[in-house]
Amino acid sequence: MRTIPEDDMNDADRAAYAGLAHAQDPGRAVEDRIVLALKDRGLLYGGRPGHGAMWWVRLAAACLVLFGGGVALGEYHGERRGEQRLAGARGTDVLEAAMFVQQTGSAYVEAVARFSEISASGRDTAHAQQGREVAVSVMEAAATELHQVAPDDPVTARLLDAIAAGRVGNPQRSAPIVRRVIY
Amino acid sequence: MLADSPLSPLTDRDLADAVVAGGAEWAFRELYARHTPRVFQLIRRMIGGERADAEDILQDVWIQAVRALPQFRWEATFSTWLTGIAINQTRTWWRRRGARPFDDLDERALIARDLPLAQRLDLEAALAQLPAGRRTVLVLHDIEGLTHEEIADRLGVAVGTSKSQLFAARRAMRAYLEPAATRGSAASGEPRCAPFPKTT
Repeated sequence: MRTIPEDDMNDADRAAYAGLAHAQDPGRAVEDRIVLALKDRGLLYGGRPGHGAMWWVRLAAACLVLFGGGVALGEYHGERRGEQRLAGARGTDVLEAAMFVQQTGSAYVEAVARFSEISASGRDTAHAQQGREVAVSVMEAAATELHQVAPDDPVTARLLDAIAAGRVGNPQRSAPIVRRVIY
Repeated sequence: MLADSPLSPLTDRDLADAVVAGGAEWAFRELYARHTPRVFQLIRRMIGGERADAEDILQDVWIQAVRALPQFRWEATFSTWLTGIAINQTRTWWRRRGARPFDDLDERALIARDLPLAQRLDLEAALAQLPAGRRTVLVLHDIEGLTHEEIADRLGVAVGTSKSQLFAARRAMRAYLEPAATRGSAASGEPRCAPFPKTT
């Protein structure tokens, strides 16, 4: 087995790297672009000229219309998708949402275990392949959502890397899943 | 490290709270000013110096960070947390490009070609020529001061991989930067081996 030296850094290396700049300002234009991007996503407010009282009143009115539309749409879908799922999706506090994750996660694991058990018989290979892809896609979608909650989490990033690496050489599965809601 | 600026009485946490509670633009701009230069430099080095790409990644980093701020527990410093996000976003950037920087085992990459003197003296240019995996580990270890364990955890690689990538990166950097005369090929002006593969 090849042994890798622990540290072969010498004084010349240290001197060279110590002289490197540790900071670089990308400039005001980039800052403004990022602030604008955050505002467009509703993550920042304030500081934009021309937003007087009337603007906020109009915004509130638009929000009410959107909210009303959203509720109506939600009820319409709720009737079609079943009371239980909607009750879970409506969870408004963190504990309730976490419990919903646990319940549906357990159901997912149980379903994959059942699928694995049945597909192990090797009778229906075409559907087994399809089932594996679905299972991985759902896992990827969940990891992508988790990445939003904890963007510095290396485990989620590693999972996404591994899934992406699994796609190499399989162009049919190469479409990236950006954000997807699974019912 | 630019944590809580001595010029401002407000801590990073005060500013972050103002962003979370009211989406305060002034607080965000202050946080941005404190941390962006270091994070931007790190991103640029990890991806090999492409400014436009680094700007895009930086934007994604801040969007992710502001979205996730309510969940941040302050068990680490804001700077450490933001660095973690920057590393993950850079990995996402590699993933989107189909790059697998830590799978590069091409030994030819260890041997440098002859570069023009001015470029050889430019450490940043030499860094940018390294394959992505080696460059990233060298930047995180030798410049940012992370340990091999931290790098392995952040990048999802084995500790041994981090060590071997660093060993190879240092060798390549020395080969780049050593005077051409000592390598005995300066007179010919021809590269002494296959061109150094620049990977992303």
